[in-house]
Amino acid sequence: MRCMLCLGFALVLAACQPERQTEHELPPLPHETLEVECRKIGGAVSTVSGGLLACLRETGDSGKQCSRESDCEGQCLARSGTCAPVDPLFGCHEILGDTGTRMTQCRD
Amino acid sequence: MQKLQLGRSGIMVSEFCLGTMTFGNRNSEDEGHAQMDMARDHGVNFLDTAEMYPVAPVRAETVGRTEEIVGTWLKTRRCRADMVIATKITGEGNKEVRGAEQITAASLRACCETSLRRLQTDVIDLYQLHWPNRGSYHFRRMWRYDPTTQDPAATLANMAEVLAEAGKLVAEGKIRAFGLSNETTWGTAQWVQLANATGGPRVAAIQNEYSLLCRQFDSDLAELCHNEEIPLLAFSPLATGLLSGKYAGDVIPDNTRRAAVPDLGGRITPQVFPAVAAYLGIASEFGLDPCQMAIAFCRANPVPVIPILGATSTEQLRVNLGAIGLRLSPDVLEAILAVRRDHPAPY
Repeated sequence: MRCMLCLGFALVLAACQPERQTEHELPPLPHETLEVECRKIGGAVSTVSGGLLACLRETGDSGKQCSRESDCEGQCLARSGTCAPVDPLFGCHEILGDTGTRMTQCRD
Repeated sequence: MQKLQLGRSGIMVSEFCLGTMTFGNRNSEDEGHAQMDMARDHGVNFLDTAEMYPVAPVRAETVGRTEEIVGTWLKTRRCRADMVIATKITGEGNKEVRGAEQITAASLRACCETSLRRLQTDVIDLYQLHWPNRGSYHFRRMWRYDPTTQDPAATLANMAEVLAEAGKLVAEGKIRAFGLSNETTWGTAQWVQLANATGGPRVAAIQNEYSLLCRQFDSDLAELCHNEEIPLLAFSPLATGLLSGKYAGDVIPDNTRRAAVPDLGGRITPQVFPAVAAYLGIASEFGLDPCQMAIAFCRANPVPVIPILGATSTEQLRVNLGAIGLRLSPDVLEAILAVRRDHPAPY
């Protein structure tokens, strides 16, 4: 659910945006809304694969030993057996799932 | 052991880094593991390796072997969370490595993924460009350096592409920080400016040669590193062993790097042995081990300098680690300054 919420923030940079006239006439641009909402959860907006903008949060347990996803705030990374430094993870990663099963997760 | 921050990255590292470039040729896997154990036992949490290692010589069939040895150590000691791992993508022009391919967005990503697999980890703490595509004055090229062959527009376009990809790798959690190696002041300034302009990852460290015998850092680049908060990772702080005195008198002992590379990569010159003798004289006069004095000299720089300790035996490494906590007295530093004036650039 957490990841789905974050993915919901992902926006295409190349989307057409209306030309702004004054600060008061138009609602905030989508990326501005994303930045505000992202800051509320302690994250930062970053560009990920495909030019998408996504809200990424540094985890508080980065590098902690783990053997399954539930050991971590985010994902449990399989090669090192440590919790991921950011959440959600974009790109392809070897992770340990809820049962400790190793799998490849790819998210673009 | 004092801890220092890598730039503004928030990554804290020990004031000494362990180099690994002999692991896989002059040192076996077991010997490499023993060195990493010893360094860790002394409080070193920072390891530096590279795609192309081991070196002296670089061979196509051994590319990546050092990273594998670091990877098996991290796995067997279960200490990944305690260590800061730096590695590098090879620059353009080395035919032994990916056919001398340039650093591009695509090669950066592909090499990062390969290094992660070899290191048996999921994140590289500091991912460095081993040398710029355009070349530079390092590796003794300064004596005939001609920058007019460079195309600034092409250089800047490549930097923008590579930094954008590095930013994506940071966002994906595959690298934590971005670094340079064998860069110039102009090049480093461009990377910093680009990061400021685009929000891409900022240069967290620069790794260049630095020692009593190689002082290229100590002017423009030192100024830039101070003002932009970029620490220097000093490779060859013992000048490939010259400052230990083991080659004094122009000898080539068995089982040394010089036995494999007689000119030590262009460092054997008519000027070098008088300079070495002068520095050995200071160590003798003040009762210091010459290796420890040379390493402590790096730490005496007002700009943060983190020496990368390389050794081919745990006995050598133990001596080098003896520099932990050693602070050179004003008298020693004055004597070093006087020798530098007499021997400003021995190679």
